[in-house]
Amino acid sequence: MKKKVLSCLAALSLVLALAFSASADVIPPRGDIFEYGEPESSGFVTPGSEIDGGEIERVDMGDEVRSILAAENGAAADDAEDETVILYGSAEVPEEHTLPDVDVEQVEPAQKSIVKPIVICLAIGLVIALIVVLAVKSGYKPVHRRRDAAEYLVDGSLNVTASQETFIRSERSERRIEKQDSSGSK
Amino acid sequence: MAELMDYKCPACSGALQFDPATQKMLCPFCGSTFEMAELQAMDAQAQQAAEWQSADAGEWNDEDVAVYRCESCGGEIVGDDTTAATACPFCGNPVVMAGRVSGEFKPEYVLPFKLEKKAATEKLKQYLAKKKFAPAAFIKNNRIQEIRGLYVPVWLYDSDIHAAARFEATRKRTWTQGDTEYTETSYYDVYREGDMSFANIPVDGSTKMPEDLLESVEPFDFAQAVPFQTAYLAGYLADKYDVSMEQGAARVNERMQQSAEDALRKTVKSFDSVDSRSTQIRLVRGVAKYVLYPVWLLNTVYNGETYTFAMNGQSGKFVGNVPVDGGKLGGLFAGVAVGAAAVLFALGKLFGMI
Repeated sequence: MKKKVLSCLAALSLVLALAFSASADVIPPRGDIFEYGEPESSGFVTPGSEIDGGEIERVDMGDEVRSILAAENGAAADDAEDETVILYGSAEVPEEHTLPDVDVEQVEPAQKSIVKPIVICLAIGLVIALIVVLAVKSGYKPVHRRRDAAEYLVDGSLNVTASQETFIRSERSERRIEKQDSSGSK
Repeated sequence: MAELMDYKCPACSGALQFDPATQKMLCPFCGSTFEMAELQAMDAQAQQAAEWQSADAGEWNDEDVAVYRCESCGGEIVGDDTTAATACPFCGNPVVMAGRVSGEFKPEYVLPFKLEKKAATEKLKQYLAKKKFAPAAFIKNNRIQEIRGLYVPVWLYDSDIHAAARFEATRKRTWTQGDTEYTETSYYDVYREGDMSFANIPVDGSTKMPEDLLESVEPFDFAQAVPFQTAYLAGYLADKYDVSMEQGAARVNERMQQSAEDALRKTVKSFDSVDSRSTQIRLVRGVAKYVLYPVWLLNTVYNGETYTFAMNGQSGKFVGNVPVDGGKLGGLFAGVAVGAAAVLFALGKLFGMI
């Protein structure tokens, strides 16, 4: 039973890690984040556009990223007064627009919702608690029929008389390895 | 009335009982002890009398009930048709029904008790002390209703078998090319066949003894068994078998088949996974012997339900189902849930995921 509990917990940890990492993939890795004032247009700039003479290279994720960032800042996407842009690649931004170490939370009064993470943590906690309780309960009902007769197998009596291993088929799968940039460009 | 046997102390005529501590017959009244061999002569005489008398015994049997008269106090001893040894309910005189352990019902061996009654009660205390989630009332107010030292009739099977098993096994190979990771899983059909031997697999020979309870206190060390003598039963309860050797064979085949599969599976090596598909066994040689195994049984009642605990009378292995306090378990559930959630939240904050 202890082995079953440990394997359940290990599987749960793996699911948790994947869930967090998968959710992390939705939001792009954060590089340096810059605020550059009133946008000329209501949407994100597109790759190749120019700001104050500098060409910006960026990944255009469109409305998805915009609404995610806006939601983190507690503002509706269309109502964001200041637009935050995530810069990738080697784009050069004029110095007057450079605000190093600016975090998204500091740009606007941050009202990040923590309800969702709390609910997720609680749900996983409930599952862990259920596994623990079931393990404890099973320890109070130890009376059971034996599965095998291993203790009564005469030592050294096993004699293998036939042995065969036949190849049936093979299956191949592939997975793209995602490269992660450590930081955005300046 | 059927022949009853009780062993009288030659010194004081008290009723002798088998003493696990010394492995001898002990008179609890005068303290005299007697070797088992000394009582063999008495056994031989009683056995002859029992065999002669069992042909026209005047015992009254009303379906499953048999009534005997205690030779010490004259009280009536009521037993069912499987009772082989018991005690007079009036004077406590231990008696053995010689006819129930003779002829076809005579055990070949007996595993004498090694642990005494007080060891059983001590084990119960230690056992319950570890059960933190048992109701407090169950532990504090635990009143043992009955403690019985019981010789359980058991069939021991020795067998040579031939087994064949088929498995599905996989091998995995992983490699990276560019920005792609490839995994190739190869499937194999694996076949193994072999011979193996088993010795002394026990199967419960009594319908009165729950099979799972007896199997839970295994294993018993048959090496310590001795040729059967009626005297070993003195002071204990015993039943004759009412599950035949043929009826017990189904259970032993089940256990042997599982063990055969496990043993053959261990010979399948250098695979990443091995799943069983089918296993067959064929009995090459099978021999069964009838023996008596020692078990201490303790009963306690809680909330109108009887809880039975069993202790292996040889090794001291103790088992028994214990009730669980719902409130304590609920507290554990809530505590673990909140604690785990808090840890996960903190880790999420730490690694920037939240």
